[in-house]
Amino acid sequence: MKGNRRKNLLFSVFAVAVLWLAWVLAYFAVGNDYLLPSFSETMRTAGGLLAERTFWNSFLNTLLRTLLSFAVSLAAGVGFALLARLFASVRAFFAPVISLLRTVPTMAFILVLLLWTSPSFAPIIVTLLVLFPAVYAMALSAFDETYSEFGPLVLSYGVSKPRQALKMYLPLGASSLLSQSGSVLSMGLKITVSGEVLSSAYRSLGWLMQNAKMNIDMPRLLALTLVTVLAGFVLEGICALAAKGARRRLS
Amino acid sequence: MILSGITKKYGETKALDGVTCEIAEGKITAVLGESGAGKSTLLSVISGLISYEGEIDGVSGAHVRRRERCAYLFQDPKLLPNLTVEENLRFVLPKERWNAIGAMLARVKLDGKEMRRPGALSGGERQRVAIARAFLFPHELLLMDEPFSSLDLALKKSLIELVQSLWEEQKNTVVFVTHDVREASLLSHRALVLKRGKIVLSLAAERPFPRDFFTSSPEEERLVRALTEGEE
Amino acid sequence: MKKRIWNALLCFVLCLSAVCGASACKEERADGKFTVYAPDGAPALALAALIAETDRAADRGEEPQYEIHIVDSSLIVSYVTGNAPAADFCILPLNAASKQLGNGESYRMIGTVTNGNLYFLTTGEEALTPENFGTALLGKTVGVVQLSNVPGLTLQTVLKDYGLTYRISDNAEETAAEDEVVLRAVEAANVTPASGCDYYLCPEPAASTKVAGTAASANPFRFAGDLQQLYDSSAGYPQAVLVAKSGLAESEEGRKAITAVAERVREAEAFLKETEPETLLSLLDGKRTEGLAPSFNANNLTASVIANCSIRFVTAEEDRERVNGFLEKLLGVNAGAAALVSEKFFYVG
Repeated sequence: MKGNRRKNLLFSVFAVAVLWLAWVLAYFAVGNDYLLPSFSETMRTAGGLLAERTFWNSFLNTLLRTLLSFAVSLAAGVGFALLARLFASVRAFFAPVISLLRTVPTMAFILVLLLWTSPSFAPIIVTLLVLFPAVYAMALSAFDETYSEFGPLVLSYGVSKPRQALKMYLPLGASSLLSQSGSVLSMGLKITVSGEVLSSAYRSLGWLMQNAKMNIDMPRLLALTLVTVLAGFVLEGICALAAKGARRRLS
Repeated sequence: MILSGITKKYGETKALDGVTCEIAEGKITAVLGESGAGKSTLLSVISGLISYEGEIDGVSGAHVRRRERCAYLFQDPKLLPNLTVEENLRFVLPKERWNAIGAMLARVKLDGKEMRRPGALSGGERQRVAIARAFLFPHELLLMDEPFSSLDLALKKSLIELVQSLWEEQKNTVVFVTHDVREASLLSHRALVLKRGKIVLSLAAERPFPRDFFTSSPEEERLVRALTEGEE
Repeated sequence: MKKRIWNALLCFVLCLSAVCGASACKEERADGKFTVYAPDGAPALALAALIAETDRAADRGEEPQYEIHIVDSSLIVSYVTGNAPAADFCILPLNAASKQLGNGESYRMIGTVTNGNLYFLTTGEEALTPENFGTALLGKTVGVVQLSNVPGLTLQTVLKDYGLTYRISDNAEETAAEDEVVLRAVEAANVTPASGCDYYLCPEPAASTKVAGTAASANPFRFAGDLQQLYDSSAGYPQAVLVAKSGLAESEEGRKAITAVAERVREAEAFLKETEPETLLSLLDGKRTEGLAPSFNANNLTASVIANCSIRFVTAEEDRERVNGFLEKLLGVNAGAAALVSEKFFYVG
């Protein structure tokens, strides 16, 4: 088992090395710093970024927005999915609502959002509107799977809906939800950054990226992108650990 | 319980076709049949989980109306993996029955294992928990859907004997579905043979419990013939 | 008893209606305050002198007469439309003003505030002047920021005036034939020497930012033409205008406010030349919507950028002909881009 884990780690490191090599080769092949700056310059810039107060302010603002949107999406998504599982009418009600939220383009409501809220808050709503349908679908699928296994039990014994929710659906769905929440969270980070660009949110990763682009500072833009990607990885990792803990508790 | 002309269609297919029989109160009735004969459908009809044509005790089955006070024993124990044995029992039982859990677990030889999760129990132990759950649940009717089919012979023997002894204490009305002739002859007072949605044989077996696991009964030959060839 | 209740209810409803009706007629505020809105960017600079005066009044402990808001440019129209528009005074693009307010019923134009801030950039050698514009651009591609908006439309009017055939393309690989100009839409952030166009038309401060950003590179951008000069060598084109609620003109207090605001906006041209950029940034920061990323910062607000923003106040009365002429040209390029305005639209003070 330990040998396998070591082997898998080696493969992951190998993958990162391959990506790095691809970057270096592409840099020489493209030969244009505007299209693709060098790895070393980007890393230098990334190091410089980490020493900037503005960067940390912006990064924290973006992270907080992402976490807030995620938390609300999770609570609302799981809550409504639970109700949809327990009550067919709720499921029927939400079906067109979720389809609508999935398909409405962000630009369509960003202007309205800016009127009703502020550039700082609008990205939170944008992210929420994208994450909520994803979390709802994920949670409902987890609950449906639980129902397929234990539905006959609760139906036959007439177990009350609150008891089903608290003792069955939520605990059994938790492991599946947590294991997928990492990818939802990292997706949320990307959407928050896009929302910040659209709403011109001050002191945010989106603002920093937009500025870097405007100033044609490609190393800075790529460095910011790398930082965002790394942050996504870290968030996914935290969620994976939480899922592992939940599975261990169940077994 | 009198079942009159029970028919259940799934599209053009008749899972049950004019089934008429009596389920005797305080007795165990086995429903015997091969796969696709309509056994589980009959159980769902009796429990009120699906609609049907016909009547049970004079009441039409046009609308789904879950039968209250009906306990169930499934082929798979259906224990929630996140709950302990005691919590699993509390999950379905009303509060007034919770203080009887300890005694029942001792009865099914699971005392000392209340705090274990299903993952830490053997297959036989899990089914014992399910049996305890079914017998603890306040019911007028116990429905068993092939509860012993996935068990090995030794386990099957011990659990059949357990059900026999629990029934002796409670004398509840039981309908149990199986494809195993030996199980039907060991555990029932009447066996109904279902073939393609119709009852082809209704056979009484009033021998007392416990019945010897290792000795064939006189009814078994007729049951086997009805299963394989059909018999009116 | 029932009759008394109905009578009381009727009285209440009538009183409520009267109050609502009366308040709808009032344009001057009981507290004498007026709201002023402008989009962030060059139009906001036109309020610098007004902001400074307002801040001085606040420092003296006086109640400021003007409540100034610098807002997201995409939302500016929302402050002059609707049942109860928030702005007493507003600076907004002329084309938007013509479409939303052109009948002069709700708002009237006080004057033109900015006169164009669009510049050509190139990594090549040839600059575009009024003398060579008719030939130098043939066979070239121009990347235009906001092609479908006033910048792109204004460029098209200039191309027409110079008798140039042009075509709009969304194919990045496509080149122009010898006898035409190809226009391509680009985002300001995507204007780079590697974006594949011969020239770029970019608004300030983005234009200066691009030039500064590529200064140290092998292929730097440089300024290669002034669209304002190409449109009208002496005056540029009327880009953003100052409007005021029509009701203000019907009261003594309102007319005084209009005169005062117009005067402060007129003073902005000189004020901007005399004031340090850091001070200007600080003035604007205090009035900007909370959380809105600023268009100007310490890097891009320089004397040359300010000069390039063409902030110069011309009264509506004096600018009537130029405004109408510009609107007609815009309509000639795109019938939906603007609207002809009524005489009532122009405020005569």
